[in-house]
Amino acid sequence: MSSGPDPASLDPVGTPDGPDPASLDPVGTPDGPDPASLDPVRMANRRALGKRPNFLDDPAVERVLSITMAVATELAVARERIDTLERLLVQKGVLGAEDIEHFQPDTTAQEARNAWGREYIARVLRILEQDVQAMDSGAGAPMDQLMEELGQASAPPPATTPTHNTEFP
Amino acid sequence: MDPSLPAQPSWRQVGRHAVFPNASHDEVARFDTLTRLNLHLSQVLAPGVKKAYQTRVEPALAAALGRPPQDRHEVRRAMASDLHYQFWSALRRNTMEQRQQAGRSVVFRQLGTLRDRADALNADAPTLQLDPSVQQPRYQRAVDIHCMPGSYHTEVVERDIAPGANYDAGLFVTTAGMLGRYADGGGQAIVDWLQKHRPGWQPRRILDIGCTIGHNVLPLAQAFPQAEVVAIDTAAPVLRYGHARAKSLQVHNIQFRQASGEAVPAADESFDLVTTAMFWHETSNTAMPRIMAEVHRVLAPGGLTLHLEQPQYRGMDPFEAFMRDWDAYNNNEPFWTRMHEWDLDELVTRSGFGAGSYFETTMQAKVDRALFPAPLGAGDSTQEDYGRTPTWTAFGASKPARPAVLDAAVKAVPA
Repeated sequence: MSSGPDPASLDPVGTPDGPDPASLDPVGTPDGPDPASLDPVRMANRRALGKRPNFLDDPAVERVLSITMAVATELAVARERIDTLERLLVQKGVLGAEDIEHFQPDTTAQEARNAWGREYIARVLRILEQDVQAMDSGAGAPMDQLMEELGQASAPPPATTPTHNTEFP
Repeated sequence: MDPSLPAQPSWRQVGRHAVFPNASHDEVARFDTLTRLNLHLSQVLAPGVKKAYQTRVEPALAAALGRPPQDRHEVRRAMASDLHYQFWSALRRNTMEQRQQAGRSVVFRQLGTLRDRADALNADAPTLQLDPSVQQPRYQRAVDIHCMPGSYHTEVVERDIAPGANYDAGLFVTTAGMLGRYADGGGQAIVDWLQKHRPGWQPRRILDIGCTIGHNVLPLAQAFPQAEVVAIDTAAPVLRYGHARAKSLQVHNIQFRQASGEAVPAADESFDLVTTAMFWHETSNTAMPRIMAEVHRVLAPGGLTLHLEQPQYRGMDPFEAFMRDWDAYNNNEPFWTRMHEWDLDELVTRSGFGAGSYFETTMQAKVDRALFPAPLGAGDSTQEDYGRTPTWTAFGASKPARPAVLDAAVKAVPA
């Protein structure tokens, strides 16, 4: 791969309004980055372009709330998996409760747990990672400024026959 | 499950096709948890926002103003410091961000596989026409629409489809399943309405503007299998994904074409039906008349144009308008607020349709009720989810048929 953007670099070009999304185009790399080279954990945590509103009086509390809700979600996910597992175990008559209590993970199991744990932490602490992205790229124009811009009085309708028309093939 | 909540389907029930991402046990559990969270916010906590307004915010505001609040902006400024509203809003925003994160984590870990499948369906297909010279308009680039990182158009890899796959995977979560198995409740509603109001009508050519992944135009293509359907959008990744999705679902009469609604690459009077679904609020005041003028230009005599949107604010109770405006300020939909101020009758009339041709009606998502819930707010026991409920205002206009004598004269003119 030659001069394309680093797929892991979330905000390759800083502008006052965040990265120009077009700059993520793999210009100059005929094949672009290999999808397999993208880190799904970092790609998932990408911040949406646009200034994030704060609702609570203390922005710190807002962040704690966000983290708490991610944890709450993951607890529900884990609870559902345990529920699946317990029902299957009971159904098949495979295990007793003491087998779970005495379980020792081997190296393979431990590595799988570590990989899972990395993704887990990234998911839970997403809000802080996105704060860092905003520091790099700017937080974005306030929404009311864009409302003003996009809502500017409209020009009169154009002539009914634009010059660029071509029939569909 | 809270018995006061509508029955909730699982993400497992979402319709599958070749480019739909696979989800593991835990990924499904995450989507389902976020769906439950959205239902809780709309059904349990949103009524509290109204209660907070009625019991403590409005009385204080009315006392301060010496009159009842007049518009949604007065309500919004007063509500901003209400603790319950603050928490409801913070949670609603955060749930959307979590949904985006969850969708992207599912998509990016299998992007290579999904792209291979899309490539196989898209390669050399004449029904997928991408045009790299099409620019993303400012209203698509200014922010990432509804907090979807990279919006519809950002390409990270060659022949990218990730934005389409993420959008498709998450529609169920945001709408709590109310758009149905293939998120096509809007398109199904349009078909239903056409069959009722234009029975037997067979449009020969159909144009859908701002189609994204084509989820709302598929029912039209299926209902009118003889019709030639053209679906346009400015964003290539959703067109690639939408084209592969349609092919995989055995819908072959749609051409997905990269083009702007402001400059439709089609001859005058070349479509019998022109549609949009939840489209206008993602444009701008400058673009709207341009797009409607194009709709009028490409519509054939005797043709019909029909558009699904959330209701306009005119005449609406200030509190309801304030709640419906939430996405404008807090979910990266900056044109939503001004779009809903438009006099759509005037827009349609000024675009060439002429006075008296505008019509407006109400439509509700048509979905398989055995599996998917009725729209929130539709029954006595459920609560409106402002701005997200699939109960729409549908507006449009017909273009008068050319008198037969004139039509014959036009045809007689040598090309």
